[in-house]
Amino acid sequence: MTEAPETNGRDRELSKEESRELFNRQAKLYLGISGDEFIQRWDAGEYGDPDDRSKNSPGVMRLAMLLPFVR
Amino acid sequence: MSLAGETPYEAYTNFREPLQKALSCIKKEAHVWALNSNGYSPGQQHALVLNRGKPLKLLGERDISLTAFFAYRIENIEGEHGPWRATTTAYFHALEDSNHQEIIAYHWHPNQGSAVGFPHLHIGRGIGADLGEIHKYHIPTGRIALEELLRLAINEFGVEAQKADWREVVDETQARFERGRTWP
Repeated sequence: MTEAPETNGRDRELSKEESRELFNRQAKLYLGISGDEFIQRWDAGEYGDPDDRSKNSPGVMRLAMLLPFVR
Repeated sequence: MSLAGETPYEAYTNFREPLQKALSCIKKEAHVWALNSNGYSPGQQHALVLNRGKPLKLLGERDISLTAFFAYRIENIEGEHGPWRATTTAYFHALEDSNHQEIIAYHWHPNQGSAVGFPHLHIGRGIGADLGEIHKYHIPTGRIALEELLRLAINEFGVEAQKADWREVVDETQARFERGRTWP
């Protein structure tokens, strides 16, 4: 049986801050906007279906998948 | 060995380690990271991302990078897949060019706000040809394991494997994955 480590010394985990940094970096890389701006646009319903590529670039679906983990 | 475990943590390591092992075939320093969680607490969504979310540049004939993301839950279930198992809830694996344009991307995201709930393939503009409307299509696929994309990258896109026995390694990790999964 494998026991969970008591510290983060063994597993690779991104903290909440590091996860937000990742999200911000991807928003800039794929959409040219900040992570916060993506969230604002998302919450405003601007993107609709995130994987509708007649409307959105591929980066929108990537960000949509990450979003629950950085709120 | 399967994706199941005697504890939530064991289920998590049995999910993560084969991915890690398969990825080492194309980049020895490639790692998957748990996103904003310990990766194994039951009752919540978890995610693993490749290379801290940065496109992982691959060695080979072309300037190609790999990105990968897996969302999952650690669930307590009865039967052969229990008592604890990691259940995938969404994924994407993609190859992209030097301008971070998708070449191909395999997606499954049934609960992420998209009307497209089936596993599918995108052919991106990074493919190197203008395919018009085809770039917008969601081409149905079965469930695609990361290993299938790794084989494609090596066999068809000229990515250099970093292990002489890479075929055996990805065959073995994919077989472990397929023994543990509950839908094709």
